[in-house]
Amino acid sequence: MKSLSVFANPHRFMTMSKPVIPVIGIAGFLCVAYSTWQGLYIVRPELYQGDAARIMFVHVPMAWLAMAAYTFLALASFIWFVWRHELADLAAKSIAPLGALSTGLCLATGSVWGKPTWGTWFQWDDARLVSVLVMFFLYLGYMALRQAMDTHQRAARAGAILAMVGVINVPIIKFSVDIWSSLHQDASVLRIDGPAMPGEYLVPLLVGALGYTFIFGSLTLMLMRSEIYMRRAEAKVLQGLVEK
Amino acid sequence: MIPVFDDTATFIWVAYSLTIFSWVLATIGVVQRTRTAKRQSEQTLDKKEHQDQ
Repeated sequence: MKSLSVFANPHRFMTMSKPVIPVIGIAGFLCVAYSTWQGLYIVRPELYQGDAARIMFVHVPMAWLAMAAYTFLALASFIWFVWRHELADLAAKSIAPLGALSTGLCLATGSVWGKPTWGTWFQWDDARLVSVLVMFFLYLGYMALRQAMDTHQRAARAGAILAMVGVINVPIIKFSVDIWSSLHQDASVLRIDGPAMPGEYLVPLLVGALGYTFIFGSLTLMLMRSEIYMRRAEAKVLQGLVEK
Repeated sequence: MIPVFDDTATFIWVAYSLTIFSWVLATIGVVQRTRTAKRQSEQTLDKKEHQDQ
């Protein structure tokens, strides 16, 4: 708990995050550029899906990021709920719009991949597709709920409860293809017996996922900083009103 | 290398363009938001200091 408290100080956070943001932002950009170049021009067409499989290099990182972001959203909410660390709440608030973006892109690129491969944009009785759509609505609901509250504390509490309850959807998404029959293929990277994918595909995919994660982290830190700036200004205004 | 003009290529370009432009727009939006918040915060602090004096 002591190590967690070290990072809970907003002043220390502002000092530490400033040099980190450009470093991971640029590293993320380079990783994404490499993955995109490999995906579009270098890797060979896949045996069964042909060129359509190239969409994997944007779709899969978005899917992983969407699930990881929701897990971190729930974890940050839990930390705020138990220990009332304000930075954890700021992290949760900042993760939500970027997580919604990742989930929206996962659904959109999945549809664009599904049409040439399965012959349909979306399948309403498919557990994987619908559970990801539910996660998209959870992100939107989280942001709307926070926005509807009149104080930061109420927004944080309501959001934290929704985030912690909604995290049950993450393992449902992960194991949906194993439990129910689905159009979606089974896991081919995150498997107990190792990835079922040649290195030619696996390396650019992992580099791309890392790159998008870096960019996500960089943007989350920036959003947290902007929220701290705004709250500082709010606090000063309130202080002025009290003094009057 | 992907084929230039066929249906599959269109799907591939749509997926990549959508993803990359969305993240570029998100980055621009977040940078702009952070700058605005920083400027407003500094203005508020300056105003408060001015009032205190």
